[in-house]
Amino acid sequence: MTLREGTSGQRFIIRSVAESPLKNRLMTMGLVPGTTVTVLRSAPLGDPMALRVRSYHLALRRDDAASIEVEATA
Amino acid sequence: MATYILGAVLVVALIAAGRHIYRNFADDKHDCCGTEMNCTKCPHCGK
Amino acid sequence: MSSLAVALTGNPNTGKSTIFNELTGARQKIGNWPGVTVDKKIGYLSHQGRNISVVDLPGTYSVNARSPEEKIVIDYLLNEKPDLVVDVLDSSNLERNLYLTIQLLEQGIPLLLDLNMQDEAKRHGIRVDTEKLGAALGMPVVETTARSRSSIKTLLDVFTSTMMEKYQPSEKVRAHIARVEGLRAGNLAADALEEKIIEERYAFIDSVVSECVSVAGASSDLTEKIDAVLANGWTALPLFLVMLYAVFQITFEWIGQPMADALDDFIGGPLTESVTATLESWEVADWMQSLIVDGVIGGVGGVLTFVPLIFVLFFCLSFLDGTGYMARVAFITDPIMRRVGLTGKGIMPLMMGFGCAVPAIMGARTLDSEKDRMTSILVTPFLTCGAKLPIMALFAAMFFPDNAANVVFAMYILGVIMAIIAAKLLGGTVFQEKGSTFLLELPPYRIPDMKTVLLETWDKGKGYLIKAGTIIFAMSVLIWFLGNFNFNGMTEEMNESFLAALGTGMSKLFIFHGFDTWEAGAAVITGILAKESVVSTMGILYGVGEISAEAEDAVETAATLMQSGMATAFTTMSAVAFMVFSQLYTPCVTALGTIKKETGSWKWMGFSAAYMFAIAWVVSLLVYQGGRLMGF
Ligand SMILES: Nc1nc2c(ncn2[C@@H]2O[C@H](COP(=O)(O)OP(=O)(O)OP(=O)(O)O)[C@@H](O)[C@H]2O)c(=O)[nH]1
Ligand SMILES: [Mg+2]
Repeated sequence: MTLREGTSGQRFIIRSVAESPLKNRLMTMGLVPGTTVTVLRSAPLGDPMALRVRSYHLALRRDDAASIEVEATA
Repeated sequence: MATYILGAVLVVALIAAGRHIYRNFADDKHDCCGTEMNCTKCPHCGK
Repeated sequence: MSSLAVALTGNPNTGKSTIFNELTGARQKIGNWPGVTVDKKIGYLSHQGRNISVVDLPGTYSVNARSPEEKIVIDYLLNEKPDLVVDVLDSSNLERNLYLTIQLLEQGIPLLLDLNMQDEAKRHGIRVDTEKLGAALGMPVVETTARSRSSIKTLLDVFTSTMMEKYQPSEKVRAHIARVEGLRAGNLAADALEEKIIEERYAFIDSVVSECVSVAGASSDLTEKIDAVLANGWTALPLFLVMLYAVFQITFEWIGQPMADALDDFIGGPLTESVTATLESWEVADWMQSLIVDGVIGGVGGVLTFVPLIFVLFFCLSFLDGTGYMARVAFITDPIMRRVGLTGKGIMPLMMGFGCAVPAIMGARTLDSEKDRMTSILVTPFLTCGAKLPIMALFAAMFFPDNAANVVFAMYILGVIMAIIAAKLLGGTVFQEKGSTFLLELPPYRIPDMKTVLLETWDKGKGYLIKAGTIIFAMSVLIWFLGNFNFNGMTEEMNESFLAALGTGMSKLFIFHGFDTWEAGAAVITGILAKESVVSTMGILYGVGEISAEAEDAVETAATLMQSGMATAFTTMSAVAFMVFSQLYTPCVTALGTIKKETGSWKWMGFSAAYMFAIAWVVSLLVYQGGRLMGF
């Protein structure tokens, strides 16, 4: 699945980041394969979403999150 | 007499104001910005 | 005595500008959101007999030279070769912060690591073994809390005592660089190579962090608790409005307005009277009395009245800026902004527009796409800047004495709504480049540093005062002159003055708007030079003449005279139409100049001036005629 479908409270491990205009910036900010991300919450209308990555918080639109392949984790 | 003195004072004040405005214009500064940073032009990105 | 060149670099929002200001006494803007500083800035100081120059650079997550900020940073570091490059890190967030560090090391730039925000790291139970970290990287490491004076002292001592020559990249770093070189030498495609290198860097960082950083006990995260309320689902937007409304109540009702009223009473009453009496006793010529009382006091005083409002509003905005709430506003308004083809990130420069359009237009540089930037530049001037505030406050107080704060709030909201609509229209027609993105770090909530907030408030308020003393003063004299002279010299009848001729021409445009008086027309013209002039013009034109003649029975102060003059010139509805027009029409010349500079084109400047005038004209007309149809 991709991070796009993530809902509040879920934790994921990043598998891969697909080609997209944001790819380089996402990876630069620490979203590389193997990294844990937690979905914290969503803005009104469910989009964008707020994540916790590597001890900071990041906001991202779901369309952009679709490029991040993830795997659920406990 | 007082009229002339006041007139002179006003003219001096106007010149000072004019100088300030010109300086701002020449240095590309703006009073309303307050903090300096956001109001200097960007030498590198060409914007 | 040798000099030393120091550069501050690091991720956004790590405290570089705070350190810079503490070191050099400068007043760089500081805010608790990423991307406050967008350009480099130099400051000077001396310490232990050495002259030190310090450069504050924009915060960046990397130096790939993709964004203007990244280009500024890497160009500066590589071309200017400062003696000491300080990499300022947020200690509670080392992993991501070290990415830039390692990238700079790969470029062969020797660094001094500054683990800033120690206070917060301690609170989160994060402990960094600085010895180990220094050894692992082969760099000197210091710990600071930028808000404290003693930290800055330590940092200065380190600046002057550190021998960078003594430091060499560690074995570990050299091995990492060799691996990256190896990848580069391989025959990977550009994209895949970049990906591999980024992963390699994070692998390196992970190993360093696991060696040197320990976290004792997960502390409860206050930021998450606050966000659960302020940035969550449907409660977020109403709370944002409540927040804005509160700022307005504070400014226009509770704190700012009472002070403004007192000032107004003083300027209109005792000040005007005593100046008139003094001038009378000095036997100053009548025209000079009029110039001073009607022109200077009426014009400049009319604007100065609103200084308390400006200070209170700037204080509130600056305070909000320091809390970290702005980034949340971007987050929660993104759903709306994207529907008009913008991004929530645009909110942050846009909010600066409540102070002044000029820095707001420049702040648009932080936006990712050219379309976002251009749209933001063109719609920002719709907002109510500090110079339009007096217009709104004056008219609201005069025509809606019981409801002034709400009316002003409505005008501010109108500006925001028009900015949004204009963005939508521009997006659909002028700019058709597709898709913007939204990627924004949400910083932790912080208690704003009071010193920063007060200094910034003072700085901006001071700018307003200086403006009143220079350009508004000059404008007032000019307006008085134009209002009292014509080709035959001085005239008793203002209606026959130069200004009346000019204003009459302009007023023809407003026949259906209810304010087709030459005075309003003249105010519209002078307002383009500086928006405060609208108020000055009203002050001079309606506060006039009678006062010096009837100073004896000075029951009627300038203020009340002005009120009676204005009250007959406008109906409630035409006053609203005038407020709407003033809110939306052509930006002042300074803002136009900035638009020219930032877009690099006269065409866009002209476009901005024309389309805003047109929109203001139409909306104001609709409001007036609509209001009349509904029987107001
Ligand atoms: N608690 C704490 N807050 C700090 C410290 N240093 C800076 N801050 C706060 O962190 C925020 C960001 O500070 P800035 O100095 O604007 O950061 P910057 O690195 O210049 O940010 P950009 O210009 O966006 O790159 C502000 O709210 C500061 O008050 C510190 O040592 N401790
Ligand atoms: Mg800064």
